[in-house]
Amino acid sequence: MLPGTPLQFPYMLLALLLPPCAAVFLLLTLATGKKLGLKVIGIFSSIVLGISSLLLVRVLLLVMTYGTAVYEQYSWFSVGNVTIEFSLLSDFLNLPLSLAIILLSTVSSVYSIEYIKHKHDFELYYFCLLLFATGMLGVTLATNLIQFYLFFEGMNIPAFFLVSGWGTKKGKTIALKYIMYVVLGALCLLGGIVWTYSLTNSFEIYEITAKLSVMPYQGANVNLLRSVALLISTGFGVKMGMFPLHSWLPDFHGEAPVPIHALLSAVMIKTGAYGLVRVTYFFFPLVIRDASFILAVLALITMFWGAGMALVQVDFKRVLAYSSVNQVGYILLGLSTGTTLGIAGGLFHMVTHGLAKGILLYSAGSLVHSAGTKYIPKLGGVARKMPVTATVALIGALAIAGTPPLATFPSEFLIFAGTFQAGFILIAVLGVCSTALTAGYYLWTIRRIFFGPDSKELDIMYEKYIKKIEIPEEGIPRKFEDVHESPALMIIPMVVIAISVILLGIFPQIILQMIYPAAETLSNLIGGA
Amino acid sequence: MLPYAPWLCWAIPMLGAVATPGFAKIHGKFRDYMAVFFSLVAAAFALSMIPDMVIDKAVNYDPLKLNTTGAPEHIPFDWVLPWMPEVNINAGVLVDPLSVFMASVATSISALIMIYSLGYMSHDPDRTRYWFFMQLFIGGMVMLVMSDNFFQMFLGWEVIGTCSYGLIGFWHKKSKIIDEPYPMLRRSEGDYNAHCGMKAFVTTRIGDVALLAAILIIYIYAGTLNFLELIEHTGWIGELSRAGLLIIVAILLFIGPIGKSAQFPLHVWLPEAMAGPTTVSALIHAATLVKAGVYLVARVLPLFHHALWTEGYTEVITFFTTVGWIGGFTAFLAASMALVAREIKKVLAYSTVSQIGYMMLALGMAGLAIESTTGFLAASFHLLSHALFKALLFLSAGAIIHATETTYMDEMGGLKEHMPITFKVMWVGALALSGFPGFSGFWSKDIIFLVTLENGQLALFALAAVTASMTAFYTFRMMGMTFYYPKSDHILKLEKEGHHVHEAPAVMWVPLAILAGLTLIVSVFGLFNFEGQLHDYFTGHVATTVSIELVHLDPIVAPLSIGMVFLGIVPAYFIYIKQKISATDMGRNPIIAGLHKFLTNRWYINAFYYKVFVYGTIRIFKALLDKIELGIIDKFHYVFASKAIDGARVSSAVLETRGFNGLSYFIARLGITLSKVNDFIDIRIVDGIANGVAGTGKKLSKAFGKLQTGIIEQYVVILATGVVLISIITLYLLGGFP
Repeated sequence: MLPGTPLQFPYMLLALLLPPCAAVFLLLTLATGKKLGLKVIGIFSSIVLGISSLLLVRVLLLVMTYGTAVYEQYSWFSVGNVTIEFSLLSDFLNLPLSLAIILLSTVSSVYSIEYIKHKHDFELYYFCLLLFATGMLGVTLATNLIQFYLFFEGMNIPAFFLVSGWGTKKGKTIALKYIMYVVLGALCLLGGIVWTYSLTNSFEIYEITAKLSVMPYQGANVNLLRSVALLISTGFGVKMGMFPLHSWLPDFHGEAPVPIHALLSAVMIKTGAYGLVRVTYFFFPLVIRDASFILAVLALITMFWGAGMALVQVDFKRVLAYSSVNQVGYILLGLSTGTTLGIAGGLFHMVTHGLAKGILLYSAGSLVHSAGTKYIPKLGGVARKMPVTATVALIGALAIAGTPPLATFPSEFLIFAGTFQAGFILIAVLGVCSTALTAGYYLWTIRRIFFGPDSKELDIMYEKYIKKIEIPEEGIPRKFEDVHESPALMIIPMVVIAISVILLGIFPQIILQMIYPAAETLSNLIGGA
Repeated sequence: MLPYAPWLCWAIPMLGAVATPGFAKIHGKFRDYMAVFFSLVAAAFALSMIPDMVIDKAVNYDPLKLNTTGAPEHIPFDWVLPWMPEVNINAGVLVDPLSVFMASVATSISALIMIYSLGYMSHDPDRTRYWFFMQLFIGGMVMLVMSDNFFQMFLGWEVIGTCSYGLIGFWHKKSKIIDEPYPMLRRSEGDYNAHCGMKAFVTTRIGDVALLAAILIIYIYAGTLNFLELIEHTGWIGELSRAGLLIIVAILLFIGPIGKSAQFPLHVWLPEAMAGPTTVSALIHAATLVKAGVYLVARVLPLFHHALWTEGYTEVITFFTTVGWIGGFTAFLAASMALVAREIKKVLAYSTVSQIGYMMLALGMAGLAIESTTGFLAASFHLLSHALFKALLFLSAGAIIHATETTYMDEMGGLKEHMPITFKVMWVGALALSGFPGFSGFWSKDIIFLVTLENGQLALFALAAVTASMTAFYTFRMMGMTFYYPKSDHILKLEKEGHHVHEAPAVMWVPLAILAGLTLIVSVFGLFNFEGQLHDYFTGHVATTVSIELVHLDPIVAPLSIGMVFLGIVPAYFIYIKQKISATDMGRNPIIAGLHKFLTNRWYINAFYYKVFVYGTIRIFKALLDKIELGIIDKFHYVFASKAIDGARVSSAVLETRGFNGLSYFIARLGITLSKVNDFIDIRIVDGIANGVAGTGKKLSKAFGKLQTGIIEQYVVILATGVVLISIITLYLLGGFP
């Protein structure tokens, strides 16, 4: 049985099914040979995603009114005497992430209208984008493991096509690498799921939670549970980009087109973290409690590794990609503590980092679009030509470095408070220190790109481009003099998110009041403070 | 108290900052005057709280029922609004003598600096940005001092850090190519300025993270961050001590102020902070940023004093000794660097570091004495007098730089006749800084010496006394080189070009005159036992167990202090003002030359930091990137893939003999089989597929065919396998798995 209140109107089902229906519609128009034009397709997709967002906002309001989780129950198929349900559930644990997913997808969809103007096959691009959004949303709303698995792995298909089709030239190679990693992860996850079924005879997440959480007391083999937990966590770890499974992340993210990179960094990897919480934490709380310290150490390594690697990159997008590894470490650290504060911080950081990273990526896209490159040594002094992009990027960088009063500060504060509370003093101190490193590499990057003297490299690139000596992978080179601010459709999304980051920093309560009860439930389960 | 003063005194400048771009749309002049207006209003609100502190100590004030506790009846008064009630962190302002004192000093001096900015920045094209950051800076500082809890205080702490980043690097657009003063990839003046801003931010950030760690530990052990709750329920101190964390927390907490107030070993950023406009330097040094560290130590002093003297946790002695020694040593270190500085602003910058060191010294001494009020008010008195004379000196220096278009003192000289007003007011500031008997600096330093001696810290006392001599020396050196030296080539060249060195406009010299007047007033007050007044003002805030009579002009300390000051003044007077002794001749002495080099290189601390922490970190991670990230972790995938390909090439028989070596082979084999079908066998898998789109792709749906990627079929096979697998397993399971 699902916990909470059943919904009378299929809000969540609609929110989930509208984007794929729109995607199919786009495909149909293509099949009939009707050319719709980028603007029409983009606006259509954005509106569809916008409606989905509104539906989810409505769900949020309902959850806040009822004070419990809400669900919609549908039967899917049955084999023998077992019925697999296709139910959807929203509670305080997944709603912030679901909203972040659908809102950022909407923003990315709007942003893409300008960004992919110079590319091709807009219908297919939006087809994939809509399916990608559906995949991520499906993961957060899923209530049984089959459903969860299908969405969790299914989202890789559009992601793969988006990167190989509209990314850089290297994207095709890199996408294969990505597939290799996620298929390995998927197999681990699948193995874990099957094993879990063998233990509990169920695929329903809530049933399994109830059955498994009491199991260690009934004398079940703890090592067995540990193995299952490890298998499942590996599956999620690949998606999260946890050290040392992160190798695909900087490559895949770095080669993705910017609006997709924004989704990958800001929300897609968070689905891994969400899976870790929703599946591993709820199924095996005692195993997690035992593994708490190991996870924290792993998180710390991930943090430092990501930060250090980001420090020595020359491609702005790769800096951002490694920074995602770095920030996943924070989330994992918060979750690993098992304390209410830490888990609340980790969950909160999923959202706040998503927003802050979104800002930075959209500004990177703005650079590619208007300055023609994302390579740091080729840029310099761009702030004069692109003041809005520069300001917004600076806000994003300061936010990720955890500078108050921006949104990531409260989340980082809670994460480290939780770490201290769990008694990992040294890890917490080192973790706090890594924020100084983060500030260092971000400000250095920002300074090299936006400040300093006018870039001469841009003119050289432009010459080479005109003479067809060297055609860059992304963007169209411009002379420094001709660099200008990006069009409004790219600027407005950035500014909107930047403002939301500032507002969330000043009023963290907006999200914290949702997340805190969820974190409390989790920490009670694990037995933390 | 004006209505809502504790909130509005910082909310107003912040609102002003947010509104600045809007005002700029209306008119440039309107924006400028509004910025000044907002800061003046903020000052009015802050100053309006003083009477409540001084006169009756009971606020006759109704906070319009926003406060659940009703009208406050006593000081300190804590006005709390809910913010994050789940985690017991709320927004609030704490009205007590210390916060009101700090807020008043910060806002009033800032307001004068803002008026001065009207003239100083009048030709700058980016004034919107300037006013935005300046107002946010003031707002952040006042929020910091008015906060009733660590969390909100840290917010303000970081806001001013961010604003200092924006303001120090304010002139990042200057494209003039300059000599490289330090070995860093830096290509123009603007780049250098941006670098300086970043250096300030990152260096202070190191202090900030330590502070944050301390705050977090306190939060976990005490369950609250509210200052009043922390001192009311002191059980957390015992718990920390039992966990062996008390001294760690204390030291971590102190690293924050070390960074912010530019104390040794994190003092390296402050000289570079001079890259910003002079008004910014004045704001940072006199009124806001560096005083935040002193404020924080003063704020936590009662907590640790209580822990030491009431609850008897002796490890806290280490904390206070550390504070005292860091302060004393920094005072000496920075003063020694100021002796040789070439730029007028750097002299003042080192001087600030040095004077802040005095304040820290006083606070350390305050903690070591049972009766902490004396040390506490020594620090506050010096903070006040320093704020006034340092603002005065900086703004005067700004006027000089404005007129001479240079920052180097050896390019000035002979300004006495050309800038009479600046000359006079700057002398007031200089005499106050040097501790000339009768001036404010003399009185405030006097108590610091006294309290150091009373604590029996003879070594620290000696250090402080030597520093007093050096202070006097470099102050007179600065005055001599700018005003009394013969006109330099630079000035002569300017005059030849028709540029006449002139006095600053009224909008600039009036604030100077006001500051000079205030300095003189404090000096006169000092004669009539100003410390006694301050003592009354602060009593009640600091945990006082023994009430003592303050000695005004101690018979031992006062003559000693005067002697040390003149020990510095006399040589400087003859070398730089009368020019009886040639400084160049003295420089030929090898010992003096060596010392000079050592000091100009800032004791080589800066260079050492760059070498180890900046380049060292980059080098380490570069090596890690090459050796491990790309060398091992990343290789995994390629090795994995190529192994799989090799395996497939050798033939399936070999594969089988090797066994089902992990699922890796399985996946790879699927891919390879497919490649075989497509005749890609001889080409490396990735390139081959990417190049050879071939016919298979087109056989798929027309839509997907457009993607032009041959990897599709491969992926589809892999995915299909996954789906088949899950179906099989599911069916198997449903069929009756045990």
